[in-house]
Amino acid sequence: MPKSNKILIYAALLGLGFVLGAIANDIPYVQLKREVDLSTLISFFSLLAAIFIIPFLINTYFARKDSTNRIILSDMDACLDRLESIAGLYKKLYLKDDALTTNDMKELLSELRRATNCIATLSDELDSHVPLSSFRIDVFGQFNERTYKDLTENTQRGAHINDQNYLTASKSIEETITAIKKYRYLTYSD
Amino acid sequence: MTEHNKIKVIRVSDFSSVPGARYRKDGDGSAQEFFEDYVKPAVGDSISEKILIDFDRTWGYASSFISELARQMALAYNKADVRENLELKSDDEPTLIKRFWTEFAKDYSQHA
Repeated sequence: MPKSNKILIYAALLGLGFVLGAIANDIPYVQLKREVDLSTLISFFSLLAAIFIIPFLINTYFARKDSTNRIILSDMDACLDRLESIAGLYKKLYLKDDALTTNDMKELLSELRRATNCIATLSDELDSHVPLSSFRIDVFGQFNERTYKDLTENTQRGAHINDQNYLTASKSIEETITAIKKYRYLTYSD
Repeated sequence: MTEHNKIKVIRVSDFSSVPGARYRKDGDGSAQEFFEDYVKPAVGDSISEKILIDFDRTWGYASSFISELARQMALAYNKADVRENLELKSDDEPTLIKRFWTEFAKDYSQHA
């Protein structure tokens, strides 16, 4: 908007203020008391406080909740990335012609450690912010007690990953991924 | 193994940076090898003093290593003594401690 237009609008508003002021002054039926008692004053300030404080509290609550949800979603995405990465690595190790080497085991175990810690952190976060969440049992418990075992129990240096172990471990990790995605959806739609 | 304020510290990283699987037949760095060559000689026939097993500074653990180590401890020593005197350290992967104690709590009497 051009600067000249703004000046015109401000001038018009000022003029309107004068006119309304003059009219209000001439209305004969409205009489304002010059004295205000204490209870009216308290009511007035309470109302004023409610007008400003309640929206502020509501905004703060939703902003905090939104921020927490965003952190949780971001951590869920990080865990999903880790699990997808493990699934890919495990498949690569299964398909390789040579037996597993020490470096293969290093790679797999360190990826698993990162994923375990990621899911444990996520589980703690959900416990703090969503007290009734069953993530610790559904996802963390399933991963820690079953998927981890399926991925490592028969995975040894100097050996191949056999078909059965690959199928079991792949299914197990897919189930963990699906479970996290379910929680992600629930958190997102919250 | 080192001693700190009368606590014997056994570091898995002194044994292997890539701990292996369950038994010696599974290859290097097995839990059986760790228990027989490191833990048993350091602890002796009974756990009467504080022992700390430090799981940090390795690449990670297969679940078979943890469960076999827990099983060996449960079979070789009095369970109450182990619970009282054994401490575990795993800052790199804190959930490993719970996994160990869950395995330790299983009943191995029929397999002894």
